[in-house]
Amino acid sequence: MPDTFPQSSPSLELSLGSSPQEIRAALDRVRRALRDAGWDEEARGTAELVLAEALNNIVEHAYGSAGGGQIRLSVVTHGRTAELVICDGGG
Amino acid sequence: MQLTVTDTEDPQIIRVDEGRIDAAVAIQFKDAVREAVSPGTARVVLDLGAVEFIDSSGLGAIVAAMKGMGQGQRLDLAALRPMVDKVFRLTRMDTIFVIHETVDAARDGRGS
Repeated sequence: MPDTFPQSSPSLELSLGSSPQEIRAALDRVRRALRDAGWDEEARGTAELVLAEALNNIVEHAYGSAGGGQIRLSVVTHGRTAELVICDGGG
Repeated sequence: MQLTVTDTEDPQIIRVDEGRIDAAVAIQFKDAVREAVSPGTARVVLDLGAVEFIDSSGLGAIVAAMKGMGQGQRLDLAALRPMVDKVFRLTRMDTIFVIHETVDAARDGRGS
């Protein structure tokens, strides 16, 4: 029901490798996208923390020491709500 | 991982010169703090004023650094930015550490 949300916009879509360094870079892009969408610092920090924890879990548990896995991430904002979608191919 | 000891004793103050304590640096951070802590100091204060972001890995590293301290030694925290403060409150770690609003308050031994 995207029509019920104001200011819906596909903010960001990206693919990253499962390493802490790539997570840092991806979070940086998410922060900038949310800032561009008009989010304040506190809301950006909350979204960043939620994403960081989920992405760290993928690196640690889904791909583990095997490394080399790919993660797809999309962020869509609807006004003050954001839809965060993360896909991994881990076991 | 850049740490600076800005006060050598009683309390020893260690400033974290990093914007983030996250999974990418958690292990280096823990090792660096352990190395920086002076064994003869009863109270050590970690100045987190420059840290804008911490995740559960970073939180775990601070807890590990605290647990690695000698008997009779205490690790306090100071100058937490809002996001970092929030993580400590969310996880109730604010009940484990003495958290000072500023480094000056930590120097005087006042809690927040």
